[in-house]
Amino acid sequence: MSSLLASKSPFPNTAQQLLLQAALFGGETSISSWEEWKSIVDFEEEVDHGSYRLLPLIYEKLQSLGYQDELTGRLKGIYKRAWMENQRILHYASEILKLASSSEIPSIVMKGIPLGLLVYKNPATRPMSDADILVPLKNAREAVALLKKVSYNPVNEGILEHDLVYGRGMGFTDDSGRELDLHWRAMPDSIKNSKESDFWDQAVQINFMGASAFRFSFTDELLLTIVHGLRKNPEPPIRWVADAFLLIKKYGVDIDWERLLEYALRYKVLIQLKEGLNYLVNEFRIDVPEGVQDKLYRCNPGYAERVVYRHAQRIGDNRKKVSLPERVYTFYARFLRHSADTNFMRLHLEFACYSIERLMNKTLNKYE
Amino acid sequence: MQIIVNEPHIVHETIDGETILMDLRSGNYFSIEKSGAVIWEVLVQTGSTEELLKKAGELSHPDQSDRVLSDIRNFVKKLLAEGLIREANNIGASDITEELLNSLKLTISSFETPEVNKYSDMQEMLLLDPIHDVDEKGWPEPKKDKE
Repeated sequence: MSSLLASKSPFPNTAQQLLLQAALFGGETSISSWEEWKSIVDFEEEVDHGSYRLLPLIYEKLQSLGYQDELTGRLKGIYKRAWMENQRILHYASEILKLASSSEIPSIVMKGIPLGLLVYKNPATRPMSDADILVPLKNAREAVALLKKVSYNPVNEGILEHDLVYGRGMGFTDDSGRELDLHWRAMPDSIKNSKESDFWDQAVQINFMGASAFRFSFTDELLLTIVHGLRKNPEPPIRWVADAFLLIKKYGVDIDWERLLEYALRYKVLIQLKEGLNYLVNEFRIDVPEGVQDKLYRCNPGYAERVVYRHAQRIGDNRKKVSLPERVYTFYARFLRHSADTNFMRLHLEFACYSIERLMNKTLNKYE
Repeated sequence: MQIIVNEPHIVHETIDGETILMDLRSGNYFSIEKSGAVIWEVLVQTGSTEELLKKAGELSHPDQSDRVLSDIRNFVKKLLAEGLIREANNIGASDITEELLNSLKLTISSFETPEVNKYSDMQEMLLLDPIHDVDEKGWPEPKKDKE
């Protein structure tokens, strides 16, 4: 693999950046970036999953420019497949939302569904692998029961109880391979600082396929896109760049930058927001109102925030092989991530208690 | 006959001269290319098979007219049989736009029998790698040695 393809996760490598430019910039830049990308990436061997998921958007862009080449047929096929898979996901998500609605459980559709429908304006160009639905924390158990009733099973039943207290949500699948992520917290960070009304207070109604639910405001969607994207992941997390770029380009006037900063401060994700916006401004010429970056630079992230960010850069999510020290590091970082305490001594006392509690629960479960 | 797309179960999109459709109840995927895609667009826009046949008759060469109209009737029958469209009443037919009329003119002048390609094995389709397992037309057409 050439050095241009080496991963500097979670930020795009040279090849991924070219692909993003081809997808997002338009005109001659799109075409020249696409041709340069083709010259350094072997289409048969070197297309990583993150880049693959940008190809439907590339197809749409090149089509709109009247550009064709030897890969057009396969790009069109990738587009068609993404269209089919996304229609399937929209359909089963709509069925679940109708069920939730009939049980009076409010729901917010997150990530791919609102982004595909409203920001990309063409669901085919924003491939999804599952549907993401958020319910209020107080309705989480009810929503889990509802999903189980219609044969969606949690991917890790063993930690469901733990995650209902400390976690963000859990994946569910049914026998036909439908995947759905049920969330009960919009963000897993600083959960003691979160309020029940956070994110819900500015949620906006969204209707699709006969279902009616809510989506985040564009401000909240942008924050979550950047924070979630800036975590190292086996699938190169480059799509956050396209999501955030298009969100700001299309709905920049609707972004409430003060709220963005307030939430970043409260949920202790300032570093992610600062790094993410910096990258978008420097590499993709995104306009951020004067003063927003200054304010971000003036904020001083605390110890826990720095550890959590470093962990996200080095280990991140969904890594298959993790060594014992990395597991300990992850355990520690995850604790710091959901804790809201800023006092170093108290934080570590709390960590000791939490560790003992987890250890005892594990031991008890073993003998039950 | 007035017709409408069998929504909400049927979703469709036309891209680069090809209409792709999916039946959300069965998971069946359909593709309609070339003349079929233009005829589909005319049907969706006007909601009237009479309007389509009238225009097609006017635009056809007299020697070809019978074949063209017969092929279109058969095509509409297939669309109905697959449940992609359904009969409807009082839908308030729209006029065909000039752009679509020009496409229809071109289609009729080099008319090819429209086909509805149906792909019913979702599992097989999802297993087909759109980079490595397909021919130059792209997914869902497998490479010849994969068939």
